Amino acid sequence: VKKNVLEWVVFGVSALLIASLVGVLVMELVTSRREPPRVIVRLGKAVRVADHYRVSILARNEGDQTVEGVVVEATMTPSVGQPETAHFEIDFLPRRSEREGWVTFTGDPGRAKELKVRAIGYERP
Amino acid sequence: MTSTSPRDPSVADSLREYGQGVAGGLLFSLPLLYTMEVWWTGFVAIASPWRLLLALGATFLMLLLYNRYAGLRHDATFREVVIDSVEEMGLGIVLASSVLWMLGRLQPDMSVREVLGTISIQASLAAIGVSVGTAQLGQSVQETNHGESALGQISIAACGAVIVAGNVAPTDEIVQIGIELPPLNLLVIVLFSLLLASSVLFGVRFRDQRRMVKTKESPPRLFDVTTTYATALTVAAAFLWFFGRFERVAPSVMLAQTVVLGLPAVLGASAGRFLIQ
Repeated sequence: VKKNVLEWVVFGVSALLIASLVGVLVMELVTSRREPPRVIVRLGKAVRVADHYRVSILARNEGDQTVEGVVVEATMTPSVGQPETAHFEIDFLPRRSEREGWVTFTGDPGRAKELKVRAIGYERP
Repeated sequence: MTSTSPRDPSVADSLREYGQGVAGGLLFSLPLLYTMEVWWTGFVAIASPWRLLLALGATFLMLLLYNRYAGLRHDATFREVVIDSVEEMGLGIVLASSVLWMLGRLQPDMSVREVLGTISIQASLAAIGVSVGTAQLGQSVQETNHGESALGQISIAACGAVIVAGNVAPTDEIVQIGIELPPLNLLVIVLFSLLLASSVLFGVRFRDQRRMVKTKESPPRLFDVTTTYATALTVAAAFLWFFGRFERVAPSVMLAQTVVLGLPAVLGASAGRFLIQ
């Protein structure tokens, strides 16, 4: 086979890329379990932005199946007054992956009586 | 490069060849790199790594067959064909990853799995494009008919089908049409597909005769048309299965979708024999 240095380099890099891609996929195949989707949400810090407060929320799928249309809802109950709810939607939350989103409130979540968050629904893609 | 010179190919020659490969890869896979459904399939497909492995394996097999029957070097040994296929696959991976990154589809908060899932699908389609691009944009010096054998014809038809049908296979439109169409329309699509295949293949034959390429005395026309359509339907079904369109649907919907996607596939399959060859 007649090849110059460049062609051998391209071949070497290509072979390496393919080997690693197949290698990781085979590893995935071996280690993957069939756990149903499990979406866990975690509250982050509240930050004051102009006239409202922004709270970051991290949603993580601990299962082995991808879910679509994850609706995350947060409810803040202030010491005085009505509870406030806010939500956002995540298009796709692949298995063992996480996505970040934000909800906003007019009241200060730092001084709220209670701040609850959960994924209220999602579907199989 | 061309088999006429016995010395090693120059770096400039190989660079030009890779350039053609990159251009071909982009020409045939850019629409898919811009398609949402394909990115999403990456997220979903990673849930079944064996499906991705199978897709990569099928891609590699197609590269081998294509390089063997329609490649630039028609006198290539098996070893050369394998090396070329590995290079094309590698170029496909690099090409798909760079374009996806450029388009902001590979984000730092994505897991390694997601990235791999998204890249492997796009890389497979890009690799086929690289292969066809290298052969087609290169100097078409050989007037010889590489794909004389049935396997050669089918490989070329399959590559053509993948390239044309691949651009619409992942879209939701195929599902929608498949669900909505009444049986009569499906039958019309089948007839139209057969007609399309016949007319394009007739064109191939006509051109070959004008070029005075050796053709058989009594050409098995019906055989050509049926094998081409069968190849197209197989490619269509494989695509639909890969993109998860056969999950939790009735057999009649699977069939309808296959027929719907079979039309662009048969166009690619027969035109592949016209253009690619």
